[in-house]
Amino acid sequence: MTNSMAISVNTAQRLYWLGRYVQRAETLLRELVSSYDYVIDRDTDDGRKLYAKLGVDIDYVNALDFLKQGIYGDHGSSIESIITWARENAIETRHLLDERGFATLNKIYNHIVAGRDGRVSPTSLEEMIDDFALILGIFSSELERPRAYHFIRLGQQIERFDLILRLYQGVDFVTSEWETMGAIAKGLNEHYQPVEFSASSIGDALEKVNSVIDRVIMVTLPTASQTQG
Amino acid sequence: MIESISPELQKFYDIFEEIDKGKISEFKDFLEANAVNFNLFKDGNFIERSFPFDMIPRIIPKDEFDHLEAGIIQRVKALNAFLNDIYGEQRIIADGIVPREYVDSAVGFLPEFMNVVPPQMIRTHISGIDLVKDSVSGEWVILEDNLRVPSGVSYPLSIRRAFRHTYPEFFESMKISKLKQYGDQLKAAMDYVNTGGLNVVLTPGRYNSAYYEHSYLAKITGSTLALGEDLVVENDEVFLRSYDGKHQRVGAIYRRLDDDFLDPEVFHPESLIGVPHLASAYRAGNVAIMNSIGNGVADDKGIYYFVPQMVKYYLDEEPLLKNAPTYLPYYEKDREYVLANIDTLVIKDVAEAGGYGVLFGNRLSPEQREEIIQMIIDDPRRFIAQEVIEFYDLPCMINGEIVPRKADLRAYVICGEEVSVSMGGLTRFAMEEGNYLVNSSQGGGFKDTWVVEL
Repeated sequence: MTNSMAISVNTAQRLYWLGRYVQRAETLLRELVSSYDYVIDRDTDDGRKLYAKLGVDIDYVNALDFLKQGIYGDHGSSIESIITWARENAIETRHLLDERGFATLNKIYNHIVAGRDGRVSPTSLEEMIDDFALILGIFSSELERPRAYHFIRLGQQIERFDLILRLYQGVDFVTSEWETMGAIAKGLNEHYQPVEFSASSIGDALEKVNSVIDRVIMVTLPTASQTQG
Repeated sequence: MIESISPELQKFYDIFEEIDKGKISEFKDFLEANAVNFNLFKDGNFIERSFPFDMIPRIIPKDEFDHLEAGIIQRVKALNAFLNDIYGEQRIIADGIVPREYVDSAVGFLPEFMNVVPPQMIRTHISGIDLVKDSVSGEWVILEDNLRVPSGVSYPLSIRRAFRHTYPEFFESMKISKLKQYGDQLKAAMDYVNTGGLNVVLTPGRYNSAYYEHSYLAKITGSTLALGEDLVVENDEVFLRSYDGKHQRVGAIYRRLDDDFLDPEVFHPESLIGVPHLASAYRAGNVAIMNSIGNGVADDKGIYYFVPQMVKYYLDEEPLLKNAPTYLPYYEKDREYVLANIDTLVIKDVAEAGGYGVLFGNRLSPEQREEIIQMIIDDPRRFIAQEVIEFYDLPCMINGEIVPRKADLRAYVICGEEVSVSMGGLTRFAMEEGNYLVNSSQGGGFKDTWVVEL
C-alpha cells in the first residue's frame, strides 16, 4: 500500500504561481523603492518609465503618490494585487507549506489591506522586502515536502527570468542560469523535455521562459495505458 | 445559570489571577496571522472571518469525561451498527424496534445504496456528537449525532498550540489532556479502511465555509488535498490526476462535501464539485468513502428518538448517555402527551434542518397552536416534540468581564480499528446573554475544552 502524498495538477499550478507571485512582489518592491529615490530629485518620470516596461500606464503627483500608485494603483502590477494572488495561491497550498512561512505572507497581506487608506511608508516597504526574502527562506528550509518547495522554486526562477527580460532585457543572464532551472524542472518531472533557450527577441525569450511550466505540469488527460497505481 | 465551580476550574482561576492579561490579544493575533478562518458569502460578497475565541476554557474533570467518553463510544458503535443493518438486513425494523416509516421517510436514507458493504464495515468514521449539560439534572444530554460531514475540529486543535505558547503556566501546573494525537488517529482510521493507494481529503474548494479545516486536516494526516476535478474514476477505481500525468490510485477519501454533491451521475447532475462515477467505485468496494454515503438516515431527527434503543439492541448494553426527552406523536401515548403539553415543548419538523421548522410551544398564538395541533393529528410522523433543556451557561470573558453564556460541546469521534473520542472538543458559546444559538454562523464564539485531572 502506498500511502505517500501526491500533488495534483491544481496544487502544482498553485505552488508554481505562489513562487512567481512572491518573487514578483519582492522584485517589484525593490524596483519601487529604488525608483522612489529617483522620483524625489533625479528623474520625476522614472516611475512612469518603470511601469511602462511592465505595460502599465501610471500617473502620480509626487514621490509618495508614486509609491501609493505602485502599491494600491488600479492595475494588475500593483503590489496589493500581486500579494493578494500570492496569498490566494498560498491558501490553496497551505497544507504543504511551512506554517510560519504562510503566516508571514498572510501578515503582509493583512498589513497591506489595513493600510489602504493611509500613507505609504518607504521604510515599511523595505521591511516587507525582507519579509519576502524570509518567506522564501522558510519555504526552502522545509525538508519534509521537497517537491512542493521545488515547484515554488521553479516559479520563483521563471519569474526572475521574466522580470529580468522585461526590465533589463537580460538575455545573457537567463542563458547563464537556464540549465539550473532545467534541472529543477527535470527533478519535478522525469519526462521533462528541455526547452532550447535561444532568443531572437525579448518577446521570443519571454515566450520560451513562460512555456517551461507546460512541460512540467501535464494538464491534458493521459490515456488509460499511461495510468499507474 | 453557571455550574458550581469544580476544583479543576478553581485551579484554572487561581492561575488566571496571576497571569499577564495583556497577552490575551495574542490569541486574536494568532488567529489572524494564521488565517484560522471560516468563510461566508454575505450580500454576494465573499468574506473570511475569524471565529471569536474566549480564553476561559470549558473544563471537564477527567472522571466526568471518562463517563462521557464511554457513553459517546457506545453511541457511535450503535449508530454504525444501525447503518450497517439499515443498508443490509434491516433486522431492527423486522424486530419492531424502529418503524419502517421512519427509515423510509428519512431524507438521508438512500435505498439505492442497499447492500453496499463499506471497507471494514465502518460508516461513521468521523462523528461530531453535540451535547449540553442540563442544569436541572446535572447530566450531559445528547442533542444531535452528526454523522455526515461534521466540522469544527480544527479550531480547538489550532488554538491549543497558541494557548501553550502564550500561557504555558496552565500546562505546567495542570494536568490537561493532550489533543495532539487527533491527526495520528485520523490517519490511522484512514489507513485502516484504505483499499490500497492514497489517502485523500476531498474539498469543495477554497470558497467553502470550512476550507481552512480541509487543508488543516490534509496537513496533519499527510493526505493529498484534492478537488473533485483532481480525481477520476476508471473501471470503478479512483485515481488522482498527478501533475506529471500519472494517475495514482486512491484508497480512502475523507470527503468534505455532502452526499448530494458527491457524484453528479447519481445525485445532483449539476454538481461541479463532485467526482463522476465515484458512487460506482464505492459500490464496487474499491474505495473507502469517509463518512459513508447515506449516513443521513442515522442522524435524522425522527431516528434520533431510537438511538438509546439501538444501544440496547445492537450492543446489549444500557445507554450511558441520555437523549433530550423526546416524544414521537406517531405513538399514541406520546401524541396524547404532546397535545396536552404543547405549551412547554419544542416541536420540530423532521424534514427540515438548520434551525428551520422549529417551533417553541410557549411562543405560539392560539391560532398557530390550533394549526400545529391539527397538523400533528393529520401527519404525526412528520413531527417530534422535545422538552426544553435549560443547559448550563459557561463563564466567558466578554469586554473584560466574566459573564454567563450558553454553550454546547461537540465531541469528535474517530472510528477506525478502535473508536476514540478527542480529549477535548469544540465548545461553542452564544455571544449574547440568554441566546441559545451557539452556531458560528449566528455569531457565536469558541473556547478550548480541557479535560483536567487533579
